[in-house]
Amino acid sequence: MARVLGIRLLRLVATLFAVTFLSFLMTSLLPGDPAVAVLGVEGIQNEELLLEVREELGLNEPLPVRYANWLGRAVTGDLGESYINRGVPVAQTIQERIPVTAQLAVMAIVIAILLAIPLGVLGAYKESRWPDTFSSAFAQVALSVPNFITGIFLIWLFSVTLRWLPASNWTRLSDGVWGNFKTAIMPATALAMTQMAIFSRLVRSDMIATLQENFVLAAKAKGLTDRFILLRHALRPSSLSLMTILGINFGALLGGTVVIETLFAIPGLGFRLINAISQRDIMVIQGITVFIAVVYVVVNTLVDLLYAVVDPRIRRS
Amino acid sequence: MSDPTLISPLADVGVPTAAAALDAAPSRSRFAWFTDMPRLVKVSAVWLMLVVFGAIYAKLDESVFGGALPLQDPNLQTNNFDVNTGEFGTGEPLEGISFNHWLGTDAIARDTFSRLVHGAWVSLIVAGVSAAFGVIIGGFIGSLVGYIRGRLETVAMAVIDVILAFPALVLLLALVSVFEVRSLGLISFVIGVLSIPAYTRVARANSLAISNREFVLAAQAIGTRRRQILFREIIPNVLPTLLAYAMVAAAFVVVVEGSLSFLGLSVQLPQSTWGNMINQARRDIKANIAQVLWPSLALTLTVLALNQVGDYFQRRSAVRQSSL
Repeated sequence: MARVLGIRLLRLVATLFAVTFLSFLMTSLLPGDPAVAVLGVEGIQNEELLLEVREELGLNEPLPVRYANWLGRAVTGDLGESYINRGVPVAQTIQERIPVTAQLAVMAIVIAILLAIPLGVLGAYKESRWPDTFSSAFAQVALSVPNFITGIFLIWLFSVTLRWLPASNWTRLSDGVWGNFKTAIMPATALAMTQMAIFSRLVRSDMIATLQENFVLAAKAKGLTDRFILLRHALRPSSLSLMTILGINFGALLGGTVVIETLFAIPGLGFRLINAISQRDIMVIQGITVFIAVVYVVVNTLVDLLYAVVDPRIRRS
Repeated sequence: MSDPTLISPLADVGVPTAAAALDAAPSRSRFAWFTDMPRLVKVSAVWLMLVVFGAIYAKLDESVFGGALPLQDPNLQTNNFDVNTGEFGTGEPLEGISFNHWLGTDAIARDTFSRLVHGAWVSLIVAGVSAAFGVIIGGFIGSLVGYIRGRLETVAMAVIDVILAFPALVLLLALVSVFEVRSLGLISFVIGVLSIPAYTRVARANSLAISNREFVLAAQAIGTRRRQILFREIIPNVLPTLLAYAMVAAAFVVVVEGSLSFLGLSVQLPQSTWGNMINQARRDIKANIAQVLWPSLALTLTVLALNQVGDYFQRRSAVRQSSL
């Protein structure tokens, strides 16, 4: 176990280096002079000031040195300042917005699992009969509808037609749980649908395999009810693939929050990223990209490790 | 004679011929790949062909025939003042379905059907380019490193792991933000390059399995050169799986381009894409949901169809692999 842990951690560090370097490289290649972006119109005329700011931003150093400097500051939580909103540290922006995005992602995963398990178990239990056909078809369709389309039609149904839920005006969790829930439920559901489809297919196929096992036969022979066998005996061994895919799909979920936050005007990381892109605010783009990539890589490693803890076969190898 | 595969010149008179015997063999018709499909897959394939046809038709109309083909100008605001006739157009914004405008008009009175068909071109090119990049470059790298192994494989796979360590859409957004002018060529290129790693993984996994097959060992035993083994034995056997994967990957790419368009970061206006049509129409969602519905339906059906056809070919190539 210690060796597995060591290798995983080593790989994690290597990947983190590569990911941060790639993000740094990408944003360093942006056309346009950051010094001009900092100074605005006056900078273009004042050559001396321009040189000064370039020196101050460390733009005269060679790229590897700039990366090392940037990384040194980044690990202490200093991701630089926004070029557009002068004086606002990128780290502060991320800190303010991360709870919102995290809440959306967690809610989406919870909704997806809550819907996927019954659907998948039903499909496996009634394999090849109409409930299975129905749940598989539902999963197929849910898999193919892009999340922003789900989002728009949810808005149309619940905000425009029924007037039950607000389509924008995000309410923070600290400003009231119920108000927050009302603004969060639609975007979270829109995010969850694709994941739900993937999860339910996995649960179904794993469950079909588990139901062939001897211990299920033994449980049947003992006279346990189908319901008890399905939920108490078969569900846990059938949820291993679900856990791996949870880690892998976390990235897709983070990508999804960008689109969904824009659609619902939610003040999360994704919406900020889109704003930064349209304002060409390089430091913010860089900071958020690096942050999301690092979170994604770390979460994936954690899920890998968790998987090893749950499944003894992997722990030993 | 309802079964077309039995039609043979001599079959009617009951003379057993070699041709008739051949005709009765499992892969009888030239269209067997199509007629053998389950009904849902068949419908999906027809829809995909329609989309491809529409996209090419629209592009031909625009660039070769200069709008002479029977399809309305996607960017004409049909309520505008016409200088030549001195009259206002007869169209209105947000019309419903009519004979003049099959799917109605958008918020500035442009013909939705025409915009939809022109939007198909963007999806087609993005999906096609990414599949070409993936199959040709990713397929080659994957087959190569899966066959020759060694340090090259370690390096290649490490690079790919790093690229795949980014959430795809976020990486794409960061890359796209570098460019101020976003043409269709640029968007397809960036998405195409980002598609390579996933294809490489699939190709490598298959190449690894095929490299241990008897026929590869046999070829090695008779002293065939490695380059020849790669091109004659490995790649031809990796290709079917890769092409099946390309369909499923195309479904993902169409959604990614749709999301990018929806965010206003894909191909620039006035070029219509399904994503930007949805984004523009969602502002008038209170007045007219239909304008959101049509591009949404086109996008969803295309993704669904690609998934169906892709799954079908993946199942088939998996069967063929196991009997290889």
